Amino acid sequence: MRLSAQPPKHHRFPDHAAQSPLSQARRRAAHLDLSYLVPNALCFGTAVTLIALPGDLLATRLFSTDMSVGLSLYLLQAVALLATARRFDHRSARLLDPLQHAPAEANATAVPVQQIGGFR
Amino acid sequence: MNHSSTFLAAAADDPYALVLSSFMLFMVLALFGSVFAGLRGDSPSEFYIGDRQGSALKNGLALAGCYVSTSLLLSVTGVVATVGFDGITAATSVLLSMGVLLLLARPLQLSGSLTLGDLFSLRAPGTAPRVAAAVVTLAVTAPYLVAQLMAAGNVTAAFLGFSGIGVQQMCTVLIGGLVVTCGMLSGAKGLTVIQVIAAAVTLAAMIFASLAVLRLFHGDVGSLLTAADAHSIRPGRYLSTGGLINVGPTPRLDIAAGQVMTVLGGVCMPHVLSRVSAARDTATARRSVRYATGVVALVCVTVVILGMGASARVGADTILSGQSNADDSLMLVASSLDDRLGSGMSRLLFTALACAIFLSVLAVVGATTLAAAAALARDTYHHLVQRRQSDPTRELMVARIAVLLFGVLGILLAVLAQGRSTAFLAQLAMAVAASTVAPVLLYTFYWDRFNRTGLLWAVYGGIILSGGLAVSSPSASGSSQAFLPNADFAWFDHSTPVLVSVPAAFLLGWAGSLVGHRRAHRHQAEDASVTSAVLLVGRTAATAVATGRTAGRRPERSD
Repeated sequence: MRLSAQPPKHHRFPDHAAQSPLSQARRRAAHLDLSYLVPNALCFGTAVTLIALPGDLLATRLFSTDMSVGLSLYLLQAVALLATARRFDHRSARLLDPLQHAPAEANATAVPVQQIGGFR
Repeated sequence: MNHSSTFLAAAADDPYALVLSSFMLFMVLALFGSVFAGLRGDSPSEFYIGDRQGSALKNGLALAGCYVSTSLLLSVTGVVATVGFDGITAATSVLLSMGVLLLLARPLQLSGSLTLGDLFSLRAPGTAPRVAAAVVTLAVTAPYLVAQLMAAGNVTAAFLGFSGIGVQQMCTVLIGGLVVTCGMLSGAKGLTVIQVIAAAVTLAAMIFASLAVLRLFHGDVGSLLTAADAHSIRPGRYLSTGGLINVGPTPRLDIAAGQVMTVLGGVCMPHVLSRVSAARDTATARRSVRYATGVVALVCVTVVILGMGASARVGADTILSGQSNADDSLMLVASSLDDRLGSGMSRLLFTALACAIFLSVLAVVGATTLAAAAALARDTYHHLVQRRQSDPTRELMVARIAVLLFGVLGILLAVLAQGRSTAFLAQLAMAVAASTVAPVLLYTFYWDRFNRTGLLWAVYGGIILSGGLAVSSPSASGSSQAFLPNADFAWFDHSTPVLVSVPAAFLLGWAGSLVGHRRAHRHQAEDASVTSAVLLVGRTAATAVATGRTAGRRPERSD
């Protein structure tokens, strides 16, 4: 069985014939999650570390303006979150969402999900 | 405002009567709309999470409505107004937790869960995880509900011009009764209407108020910041950390831990998770969270501006005079705009903010009560008492009774606790959620070997550690700002328990899964891979993949 909905040709995931559809989906999901998580986690980790460290680096003014390091970092966090969220949504819609419907179309005789366990 | 400016003054042609009448009229219309919208729903799943037909925008607004609580609107504004940077940190953490929710949106929607018990059962079928889920739901929602009801009583009493504990208790009972009645009659469908209105009104009122504050400073954020710094309780150190928590051996570490608690705890509230599950497909779920993130981001920015405005216009000393917290900052800054905006516009702004706060209380309290009722009716009654025998009418009746019982219990506890610190209760709820739900969800979604033993260890270990350490912390007793100021049994020096409880719960989940894995049977390993497939591509696709492998297995009902 093969997932019928293919991602666009310019996608970054090689279509390995030997891989099962689920492992392909898993790789794509992991890649998308990581590309969303890493920039946000870096910003958050930096802020938490700077808060926890002694000294008052976050209160340091940037170039004699009213803007401090802390405020700039939080602003960067917010912008990074909104930008990566938009990218994550679009890429998920393109690469992962089509996989939900493909096997059902390919296998019309699928049994109800209750029969496969795990959802009691 | 004093006692003369209340209902009696309405008869004396006081302009305040107009404000009060507008407020009452708006509330009645909103409640009527919610009950009317909810009357058509008659299945248990519709009662718990709605009909799954809403658009992404509607779902997003509803999610923002049940996420933006009085803790953000009142407490964080107060912290920004008095100590500055720690409040800005809290507002940023609230926003970041929406980012975590976006990551979880896809598996949450694909799991099709109605309650926390459904989520816990993904990797660990059986009754024990259901009971654990019900215990966690009640442990998280009960303190959160009480905190919200107490805040609602305070705000309403202040709005009516009273400040006594007795009036606050009366207001808590009235508002609580209203919300419980609304929840019983309408369920999630009606509540969605309230949540959408709450998000829209809150956003509009907060933006309007922020623009008014910025206009006073000619749009110059720098001069607003300078004025806020000058009138805060820490002049010259307004943008330094450590204003909120400055006791204990490691105050900076406590602030960082508080940030982690807000990010993990906020996203793991049962009512927030069920709101994401209510989306009709994964694309709608993700887009809903994105819209909600946008709304919450705007609200957080306005909270920071209004907090600075409160410090600059009112002054931290005035805000804190005779009070242990600065929760009145938002309404004080709205009142302080009278001379610049004109009395008519100022009253409109004041009324809009009061409506926003009241609606957010309705939205959050309603959602919390419903989540607790769903846990009682579905995870305990349906799965334990009825042994999954399908009887939707009876389950629905039990759910409505559960709303009533849980709501009444919450109102009673809120009345008893009125006048005490709400911050401790909100923190307790967040800490328990971060220490129990967060590890279980992350392991469930991203680790195939997570199993029943790991789940039970993480849940009960997390509850015991977070609850026990929170009760033993200085936030609970031993200081004038503690929940029990006259008692002193604090031995845990840190202000938040998550410093210990979150890493411990993750560790327990991992260790328990390793121990449980040795006892696992082969078919359980198969179930784990099918669960992973479902969380990746959905039930239909996973079923298609698993068809050959599972032929001949005995079917089990999900409902």
